[in-house]
Amino acid sequence: MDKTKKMNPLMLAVIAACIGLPFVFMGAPFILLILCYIEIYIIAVSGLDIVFGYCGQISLGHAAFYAIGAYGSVLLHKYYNVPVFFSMLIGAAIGAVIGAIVAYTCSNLVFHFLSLATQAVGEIVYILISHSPGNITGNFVGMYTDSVSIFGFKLDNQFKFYWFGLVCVLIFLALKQALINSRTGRAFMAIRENVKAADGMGIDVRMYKVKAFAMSAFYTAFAGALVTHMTKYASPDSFLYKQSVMFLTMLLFGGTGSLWGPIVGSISVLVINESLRDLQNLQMLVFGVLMLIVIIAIPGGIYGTAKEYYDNLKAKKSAGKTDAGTAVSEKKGV
Amino acid sequence: MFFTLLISGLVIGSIYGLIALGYSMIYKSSGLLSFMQGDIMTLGAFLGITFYSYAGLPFPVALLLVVLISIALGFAIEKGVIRPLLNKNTMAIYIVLATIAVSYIVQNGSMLVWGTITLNFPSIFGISTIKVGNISFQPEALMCIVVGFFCMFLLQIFMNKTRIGTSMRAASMDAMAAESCGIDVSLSTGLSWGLSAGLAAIAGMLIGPIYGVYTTLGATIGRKGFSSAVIGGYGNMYGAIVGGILLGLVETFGTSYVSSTYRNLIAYVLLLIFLLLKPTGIFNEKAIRS
Amino acid sequence: MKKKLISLILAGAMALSLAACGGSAGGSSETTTAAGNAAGGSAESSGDTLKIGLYNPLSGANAAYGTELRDAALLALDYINEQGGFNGVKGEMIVYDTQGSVEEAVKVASKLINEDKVTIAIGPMNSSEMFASGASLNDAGVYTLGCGTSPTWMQEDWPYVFRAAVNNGVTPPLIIDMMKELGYTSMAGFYGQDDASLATYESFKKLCEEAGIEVKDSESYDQGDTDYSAQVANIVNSGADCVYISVNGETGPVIVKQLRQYGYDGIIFDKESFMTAQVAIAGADNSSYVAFANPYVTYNTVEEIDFDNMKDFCQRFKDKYGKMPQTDSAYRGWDAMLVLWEASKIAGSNEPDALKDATHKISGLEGLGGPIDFTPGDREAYHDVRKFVLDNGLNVEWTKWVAENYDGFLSATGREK
Repeated sequence: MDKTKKMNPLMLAVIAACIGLPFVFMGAPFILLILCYIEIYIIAVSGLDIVFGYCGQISLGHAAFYAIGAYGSVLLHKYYNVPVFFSMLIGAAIGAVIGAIVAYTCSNLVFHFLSLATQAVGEIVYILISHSPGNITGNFVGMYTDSVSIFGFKLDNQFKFYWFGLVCVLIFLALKQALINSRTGRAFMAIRENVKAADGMGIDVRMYKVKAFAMSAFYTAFAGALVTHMTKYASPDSFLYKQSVMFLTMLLFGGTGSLWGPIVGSISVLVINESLRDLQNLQMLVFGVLMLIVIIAIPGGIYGTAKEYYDNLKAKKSAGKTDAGTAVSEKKGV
Repeated sequence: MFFTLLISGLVIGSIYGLIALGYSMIYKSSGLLSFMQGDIMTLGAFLGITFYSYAGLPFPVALLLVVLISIALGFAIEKGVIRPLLNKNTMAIYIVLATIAVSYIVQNGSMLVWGTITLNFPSIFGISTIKVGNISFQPEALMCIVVGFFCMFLLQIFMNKTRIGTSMRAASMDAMAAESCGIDVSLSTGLSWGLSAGLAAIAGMLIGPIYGVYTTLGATIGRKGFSSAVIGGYGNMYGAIVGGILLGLVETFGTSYVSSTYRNLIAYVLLLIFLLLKPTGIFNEKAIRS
Repeated sequence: MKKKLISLILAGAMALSLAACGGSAGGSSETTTAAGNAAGGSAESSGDTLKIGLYNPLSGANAAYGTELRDAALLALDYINEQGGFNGVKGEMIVYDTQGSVEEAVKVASKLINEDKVTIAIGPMNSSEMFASGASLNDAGVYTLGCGTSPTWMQEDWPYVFRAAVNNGVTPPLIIDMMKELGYTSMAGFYGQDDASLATYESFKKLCEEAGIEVKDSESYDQGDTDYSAQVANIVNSGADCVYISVNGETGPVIVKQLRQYGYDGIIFDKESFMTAQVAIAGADNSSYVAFANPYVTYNTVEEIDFDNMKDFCQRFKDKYGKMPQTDSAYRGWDAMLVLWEASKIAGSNEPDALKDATHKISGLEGLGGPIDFTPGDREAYHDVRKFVLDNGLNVEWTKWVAENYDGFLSATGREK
């Protein structure tokens, strides 16, 4: 119980940062832009965390859902005049449906071959948006679109967009926590730990895999719609294979199967990328090296490792007490 | 026209096949997936240019050097990156991501060393075209096909008939049991990563003279190589080459007779079809499903 | 213990980089006021140097072109600074890599505008990067020189965005003229799916139909492909009089080589110049009879150059980087800086608005591809381009070649009647 109390100052700091930062950087649109990208990536990577961190199903093709959300929204807005916010939701829903179809057909594939299948899905979606029939997506030229508008209020700069993004992040994270703590979430984790055992317990493995993929795709697709309406431009270049790798990198940087992992991962990777900016063409090389170091040195990710360390410390401190039980349940709960 | 297409399908097919051989090799001996084959191939081509064109060594010597260096590199990557991760009992995805990180490093590192301009890999045989009737093709094309098949037979024999090959297969099935039988598991997996890097380097040396050499040469081929491996039966040496050649032929004939717009779709659609309907591939390799 | 240490180090590194971000943001607020003052009318002395932002793909698929563009722009900057700079102010270049990514281009453009407070930018050569970032530069009133050659992005209404490179849209009619000159009535085309290649090919195809030239076959490829043999086989088999290729730089030599290997020995018309780097890969023999309309070509040696300013530029480039420019993107970088310099001279000021207005007055400026003329008001530098054909590794002027070497070509390829 005292643990939650201890977390409070940290929580307060986070809340203060979320509210304070945009005001601090009001005169620095570039920093605001990076903050907006952080929000978008938190949603996308949290989505990946649902399917990978909790349900144990790998995806190397989440750029596909990112693209479906983006193009779904842009096309609905352009050809059917759907207002931007609703088009984003519908785009994300289309992403979820496709995610469900992929999961349903691939549910028998184990780890490695699932990653190959999802990678293929990513490539196929990329080829389709860049060679669309009748040029409806603008192909490689891409297409311009509008910014998000809510009841006629246009979020046409980064400061306004930040608050919208923040609300989205909070809703999506709250939904994720609710999902994880529900019966569905426990089924996901059972599948992650041992598929056969989960099956034996009467869990409909295929159905839950479909659910996990659909939820995950919804998150990532919504993030795709967000980024497109923020930059007001969609181009296939944003949805290459390396984008899928980027999501995975962020997730592993932060740590899997937790609320904070995707947050820490998105922030750290974006901040690292920006601080390497002055290296010009060395940026990707140094990033590759950093990625390798993190994977080898702290495979639990930054948050995961820090938490493990913190928990160990606590366990040692309260070695005499009967705290071990709560520590375990805490670990499972998060 | 038909024969022209046949030859070019076989050429690109054998390249896919060589890459797929590497994938199968690693999978067979360690049950893992590597995502760096394509970029090792690029590196092989760059090293090939350096030894053959810049240093002026005879082609066989250059090839041997490149293959040896690549084997050493593959071995070093296994020892320095893959093995520590395996020892930590991390999820396999970390190994996948680690190989992706290595491929970023190789791609961007070779950009620093060899620059960004596409380099010319001079012709190996001194003549650029062989003409038979009204079909013309590059001598390197023929070499591609021959070498592809040769590597396949060699590897299949190596894996099934030699002591090291057998111990490599044993190590992948049950590392603990293999260890207790006196097999050096660490050595055999290291060797398999080394050999697959060597195969990729050979592929690079073969297509360098045909396409020129640049940093992103292997990226797409590396991804399509997975498709060949799956089509043939992931983990099967015959399957890798046969799958590669099948993919090469379907791509070439499809592009020519149907349309070139969706050419790149073929590999991925085939990959999905096989994974979903016939995951054991043409050669019925029983390594896949859960 | 090891884990703990590493996570501590990482956390430290992150905190540092965060601080660096914050620091640069804080620092920039000072320059904000400076720029604000300048905008308020206190002339051009907005600091010690004039900041010029350059963002281009320096890694990834198009790195070769971005890198040479940067090198040439830096060379031009040195040259201009030696000559006294921009109205007495020395220029300073801030360079970023877009990695060929739209997201990076958006971030980098924002960083240039808001953090580095540049008022002048040299834009990327990739269309998608320009599409993604052009509007924000234009809206911020940054005087921008785009370096891509696609006709598409210049159609946007961006008054602050100019181009000192060739517009590929102007070359197709000239190619048609060349085809008609030789009496060709059919062609087969090969094009890339990327914006620049596709847009040029589409307009070319349309012009063909208008001119009564039959399009016997159209084949396409994607960037990143390596094998074009199936497409080439179709083209060779179509029996067209000539071949037109609208492709990206690194594809050019491979397709030319493959066309020759599959037995096509006729003229290959290219949407852009066939550069030294490309001849090196395709081979001089195979590159013979590649014809194109372009303001400039690339050279193997300084000696073979006929134009004084080109000679001078290539000599400088060679002196500084130890090699000749291998792609024409180097020329684009130099020309862009030259246009900027000229505009600053005409305007007598380095303010983006003044530069914008002054650019429309530029005419008769000697660019690397001939006279640069912005007076037609379309924000384009080149309206007149030269025609060339490669013959034995040398770029020969087209009309001269038709008059002197065409018969030789006919007999060499067994085409004489």
